[in-house]
Amino acid sequence: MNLARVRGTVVASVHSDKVAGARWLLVEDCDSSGAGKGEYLVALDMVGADRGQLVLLTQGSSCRWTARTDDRPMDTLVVAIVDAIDQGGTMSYGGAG
Amino acid sequence: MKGTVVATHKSASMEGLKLLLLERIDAVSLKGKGEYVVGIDSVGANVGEIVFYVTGSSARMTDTTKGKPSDATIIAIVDAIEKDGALTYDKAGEHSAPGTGSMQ
Repeated sequence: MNLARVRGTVVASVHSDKVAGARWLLVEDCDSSGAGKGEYLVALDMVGADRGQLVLLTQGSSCRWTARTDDRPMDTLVVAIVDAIDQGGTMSYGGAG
Repeated sequence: MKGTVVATHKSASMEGLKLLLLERIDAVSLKGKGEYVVGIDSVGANVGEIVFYVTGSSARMTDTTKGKPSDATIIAIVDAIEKDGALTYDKAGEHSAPGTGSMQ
């Protein structure tokens, strides 16, 4: 899984029937401290992520291993909102509380 | 979406599928990266439209591509892209708020 930051949303009214009602997020690929790399992806939101939050992305066929995405054309999902990252004993992201 | 690809001689399982030439773009600046992909259309995309496509085994999950040897399928035509609260792309000039909803 990759780390990414939610930057915005993408709207598409003409789409495959299999993705009707989907909420798409514009996410920026991030390094382990949460810094953006300037590379952007469109991902399906599974967790209600908001702009600015650091999230976990699942990519590839693993995206279809959820009840909502089974048998649907999805290749990038937001599956979790990151609270903190501990890198070798140092909090590289979050960690308050 | 930059154009179409025509191939008369092809696998029988590719018969009737529309092949589109896509240029990858930066989602914020919308500038082309000069990288091209051929994808199968499942939504009726036209030249100049911004689309998104799925790759890998997910490309076989639309009704159009079920059981077909596709590894890139266009699944949506983009209306608007919002970043940090501002629209970076607005196809029809009519979007003021990002879409919401949950897939059923």
